[in-house]
Amino acid sequence: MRALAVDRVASWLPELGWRDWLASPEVGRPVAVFGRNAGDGRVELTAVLDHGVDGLAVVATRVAAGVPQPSLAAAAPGLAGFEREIHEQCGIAYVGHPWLKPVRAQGADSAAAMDAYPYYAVEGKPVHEVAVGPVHAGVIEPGSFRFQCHGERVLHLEIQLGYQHRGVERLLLAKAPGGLERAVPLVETVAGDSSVAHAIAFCLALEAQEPVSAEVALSRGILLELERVGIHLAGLSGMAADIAHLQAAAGYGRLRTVVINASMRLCGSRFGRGGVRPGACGYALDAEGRAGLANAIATLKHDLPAIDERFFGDLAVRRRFVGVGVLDMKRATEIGMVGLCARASGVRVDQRIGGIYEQFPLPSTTAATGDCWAREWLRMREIHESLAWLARVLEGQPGWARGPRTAFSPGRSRLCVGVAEGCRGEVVYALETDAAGDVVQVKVQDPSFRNWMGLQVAVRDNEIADFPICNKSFDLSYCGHDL
Amino acid sequence: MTTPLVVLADLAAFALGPILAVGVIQRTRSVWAGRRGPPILQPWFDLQRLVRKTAVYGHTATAIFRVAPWVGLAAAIAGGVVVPILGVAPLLSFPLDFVWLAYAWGLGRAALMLGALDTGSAFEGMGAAREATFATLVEPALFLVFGALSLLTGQHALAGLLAVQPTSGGDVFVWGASVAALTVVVLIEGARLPADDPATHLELTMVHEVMVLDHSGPELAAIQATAALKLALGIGMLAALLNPWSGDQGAIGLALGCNLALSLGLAVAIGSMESLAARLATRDVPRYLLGAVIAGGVALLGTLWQGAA
Amino acid sequence: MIGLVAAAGLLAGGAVLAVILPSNRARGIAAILTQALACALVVGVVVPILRGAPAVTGLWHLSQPVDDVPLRVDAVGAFFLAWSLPMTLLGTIYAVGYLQPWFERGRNGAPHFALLNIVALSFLIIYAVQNVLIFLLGWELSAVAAWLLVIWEYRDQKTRFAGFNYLVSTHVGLLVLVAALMYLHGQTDSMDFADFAAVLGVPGGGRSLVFGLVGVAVALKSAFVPVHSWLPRAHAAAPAHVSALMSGVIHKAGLFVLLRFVLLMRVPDEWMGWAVLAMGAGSAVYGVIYACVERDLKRLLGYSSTENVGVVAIGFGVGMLGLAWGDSTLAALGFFAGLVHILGHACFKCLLFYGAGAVHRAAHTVDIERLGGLARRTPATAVLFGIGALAISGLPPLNGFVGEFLLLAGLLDGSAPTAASNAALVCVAALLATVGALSVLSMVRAFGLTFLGTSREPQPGAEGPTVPGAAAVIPMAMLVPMGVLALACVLLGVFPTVVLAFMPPVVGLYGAGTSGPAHLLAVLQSASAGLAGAVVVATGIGGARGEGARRAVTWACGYRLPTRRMQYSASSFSATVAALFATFLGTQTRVRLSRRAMPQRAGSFDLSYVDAVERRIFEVLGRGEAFFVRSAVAVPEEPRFAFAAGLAVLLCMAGWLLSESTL
Repeated sequence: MRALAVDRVASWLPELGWRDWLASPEVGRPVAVFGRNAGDGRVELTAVLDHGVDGLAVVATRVAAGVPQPSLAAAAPGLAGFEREIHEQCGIAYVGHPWLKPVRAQGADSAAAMDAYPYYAVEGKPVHEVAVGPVHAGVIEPGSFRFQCHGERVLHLEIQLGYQHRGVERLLLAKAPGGLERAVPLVETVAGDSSVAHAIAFCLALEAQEPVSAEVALSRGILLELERVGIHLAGLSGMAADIAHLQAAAGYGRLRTVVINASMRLCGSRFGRGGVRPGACGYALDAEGRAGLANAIATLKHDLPAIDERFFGDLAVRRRFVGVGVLDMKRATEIGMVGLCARASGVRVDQRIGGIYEQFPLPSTTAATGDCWAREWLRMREIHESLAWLARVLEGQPGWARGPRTAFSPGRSRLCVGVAEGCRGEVVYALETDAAGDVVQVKVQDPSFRNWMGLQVAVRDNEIADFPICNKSFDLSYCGHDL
Repeated sequence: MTTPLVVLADLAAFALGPILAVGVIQRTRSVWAGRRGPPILQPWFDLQRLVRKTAVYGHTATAIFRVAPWVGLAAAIAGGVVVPILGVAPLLSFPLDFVWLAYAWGLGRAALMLGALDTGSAFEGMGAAREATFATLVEPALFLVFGALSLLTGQHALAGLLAVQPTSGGDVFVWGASVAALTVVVLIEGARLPADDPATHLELTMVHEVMVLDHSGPELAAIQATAALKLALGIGMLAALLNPWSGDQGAIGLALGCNLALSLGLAVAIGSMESLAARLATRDVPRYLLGAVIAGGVALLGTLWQGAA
Repeated sequence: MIGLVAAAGLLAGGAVLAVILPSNRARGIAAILTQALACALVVGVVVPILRGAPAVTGLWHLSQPVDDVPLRVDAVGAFFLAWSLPMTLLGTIYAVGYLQPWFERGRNGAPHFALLNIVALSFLIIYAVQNVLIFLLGWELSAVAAWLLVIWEYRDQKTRFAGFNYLVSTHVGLLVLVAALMYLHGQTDSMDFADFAAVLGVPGGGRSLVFGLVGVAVALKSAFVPVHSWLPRAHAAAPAHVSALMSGVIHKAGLFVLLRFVLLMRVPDEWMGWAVLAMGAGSAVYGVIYACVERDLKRLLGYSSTENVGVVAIGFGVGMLGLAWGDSTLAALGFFAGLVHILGHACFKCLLFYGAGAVHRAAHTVDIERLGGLARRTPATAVLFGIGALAISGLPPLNGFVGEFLLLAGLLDGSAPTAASNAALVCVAALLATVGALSVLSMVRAFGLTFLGTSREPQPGAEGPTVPGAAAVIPMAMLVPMGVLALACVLLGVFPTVVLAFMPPVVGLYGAGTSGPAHLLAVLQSASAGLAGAVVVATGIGGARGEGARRAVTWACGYRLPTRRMQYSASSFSATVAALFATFLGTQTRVRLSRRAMPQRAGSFDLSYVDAVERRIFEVLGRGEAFFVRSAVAVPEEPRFAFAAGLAVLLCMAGWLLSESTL
């Protein structure tokens, strides 16, 4: 969990310098790159960079609107998604961009644009296309998948998202005059299964000038890790159900209920809503609550190993997962993957540094193979690590009371960034205020925005019957991408 | 010989067997998952519900799409009349009726595949291709088993083949390999795990279900009834093979009771296997079927050792 | 006998008429009329023989090139004659409709119709004449006539090559057959087939030699593996009715020769039965695998012919084994099955080829990957082709199943003398079942992807992918033969005991009683009738439900804008089977796929299959040639060396001649 607040004007670079910064590999890893129509015929571009233990940095520039810019995506595919979004939101045409296609259904003729999406095709009479979606045959979110197949082999996959675009950034901006601290309930609904992570990142951005106390940070960390455990258990249960391993599906599912009930007892919502508030603890923890939570953790620690052994020790499961949907480390770094999917491919990227994690460090594991097995195994390992961390943190904790609601002002001419590690990866919130102190931009970025390309690449040359488990192993958020 | 009572019992088994087979399997799976599960007659309620609905047909579908499920049901019934589902005597028996069984069910399968291709969709085409490919490996297994049993018993009718009583070591070898191979064949024909998951919602992984994705209403009811009927007949065949009194004309009651008990046991066993084992990857199903062919080959080799002439 | 000679004269006269008449229409009518009359005459002669009358013999007095031509139509020849001429007649009727576009462009149909008559004439010669020389003349006549018919589109180089390939193959077969017959002539000093029984009835090296040579000749004529590759090539190049006649009728002459020689052998050796069985099994498996993966409809049907001829050979192999073991039931089952399958194959193969011709007329292509949705444009063709497809897959209640049922009855009889033989026959039965399942796959793929779904190429007059194009008109001249053959398939399938009216004398020639097959066929008839009734009821239910039903876009996972590419392709349908049997297939892949995360240029993927056996043969020939070239280079180019070698050969020959003269 990290936050950064900089002076907006001070971070501006000349256009060429900005591009060089982004293109050079020694500069930090791009966490978020976004743009804003500044109104006076200029477009402001901002990049948030990650320098690892040295913290975050921000560089920004202003370019003329309507002037085509050379694209960096051909050399650095990790920037491709950002450039597509900037093109859609700010109208900058990127010359030389390999896939300048619509990201979300934004704009006047959005429906027609969605229907006319130019899918990549593999030509040849033996090739057939399989189109799945946007309406799916289960209670899952809409997304359109276009496969180019020959027989059972997938030659290429392209995913079109954006069907759930709700205009969250616009809504948040509209709420700004009334005080952004009241917008946390809206932030919690951006991606329903990462409510806590989004709320934490948002609050970090709001509090970037004056960080909160360790107690508040701890209260947030506990909810975050509980959410991680719950979502990872749901992911494991779903994967087991997809390969018809009923024992593990039922076992993990049962334990997930334990976790979300624990969350319910803490903050009144099974998904951690209302538990994170700007500036103060969102919920109270007394001795009874602490004991209840410790109990839940102990139950999980006791029951999980048997199910893990049953699931991960099964040769049939191993046969289904190993070697399927491989995303190697080189490719993962190239695309700019974040979070669990990147760690499963061997890329060390984890935002659980700084803040409460200085006092209570949380070791981050990576896997080497980058296949479905690695991703599921990593989920299991992260559950155990989070449970161990929770147990350690709760030891001898006096508890806290619920804090009062506080008003916030991010300052004048400031750019405030908050980053939290959700169950999928890093959630980024950026606020920008002008000289008068009015909020001019709220930028939201869910880790799924960076990771959908990874699924498209990983499925190539796999069997089409293995696509559901690849998709499930990535477990990406549609609404987090669509905002 | 078939008495009127046996004929009536067989007809009752034809009508109730499919529903009970699927119902018991579903109930067993629920129990393993820690739930109560639906009532055992749930498949009958499902069929009733589907029959009452109005079917919707795609724009590309011709009459073949509408006719295929009914032809499939007719072929399944026409082939199934030679199966001694209760282990006593089938409705119809003649030499080489197992050939009739295999090929009549082949007609039903061909009809369903044509109905699938009629929709003009890649999903149904994928299902038809998978179904056709797996059938090419099921047929040799079936014929190797029946050929081996025929050489062992000297009989040529299915009822006679299934009434084999293994006495010596070589006989048991052949019989055991036949049971193994036949189990795999029955599970494939009934579209059950480990090759095909009837409870999955993931179309890209299905074999039989995705082939009939576009059917609705009474057509879907006919297709589900066909699959259930083939499963029930397969279970009946396996039970008859395992039944020590199968085909024994002097102990009809014993044969009947034992067959029913064995059928129930097999249904529970199938439900348990489905709950405890994971699904095979689609690329592994041909290997799994090849295992059944090898088992059939082993059964045939067993007859050489037996010295059957 | 008079009838036969008169029929021959009619056919010859019809050929002449076809050449001299002025208009194509008149030529067609002349050919059809003369063939119809000849048919009636021949059928009048052969039907009594098939009902049990003794063979018709006669002597046709000639002075050139032989003295007298003995004619003899026994049950086997009568069987083949009975349907060969009517099939040729149907083909000629079909040709009148099929060749219409060429005639409208001013093409002269005289040679074509004359050749069709000559083909019919050649059948008379092959099946009725006992003299070896005249028989070979008829054999050659049918081969050359077929060649000239194949190269109807001689302006296309591919067609010319296909015809040339066929010509070479059939003449190699002729050479081998001539060698066998010459050997027999040398042993018996006679030109009459009946006299060869003296040599062939005696087990020994001579008989084995003749059997080997005849086997090679039959393989070349009837397209058995490994000398089959000319057949798919010729079928792809020839007009539809010519392919039909070649596959269905002309190449059955090879099987007739096999039957004739087995008859002359009386009791063949056991190894001969196994050899024929193995050749048949190999051809069946190889043919059906290629039929599963081909994308040209006519090539597919050509490979399917190899498969079916293999099945027939399995039947004859079983029959020969039955004769060798003295098991008359087994012999009856085997020969019955083979003959029923020959007749059935003639029916449904011709039907399928006529259907392919109609497809070509409607869509101007026979490439499955470019077809689709034809059922809504040509419903009659779709129904008839569908009946043919189900029949060739061996599914009840159609006639393909009858032959397979009898064959499986023979293989699973369990009456062989040793346990190993029984087990081997059961293995062949399992193989036959696999071939059947693969053939179902290939025909469902061929029929389903051609006629069902939507077209894979944009159709003129169709606004969207799900809208069919304009209805295509197929002339009655093309539909009527298809209808007749479809009716034959259905009737022979639902009432298989019909064959008992004319088959028993044929099988009886081999000393096999028909009580076993008769009983099986009676039972099969009841079962088939029941199934047919159930299917009719099912069709009624399904058809009636279409009235006023709701229509919507095909569901299949909710994509609202289906495109033409969103249908399974033919290559994808058989991809898994192709992978399973990859060792038999000669796969050629041309792939260009980008490895980038976001590729811009469209990738390409193409897959095609070449005949692996043919490719291997040419590889070996090439290596052999390379070997000879290397050896020739290695030999020193010394004139003295060549002189010395020649002198040595002369000395050896002189010495041998001297020793021969002194002995």
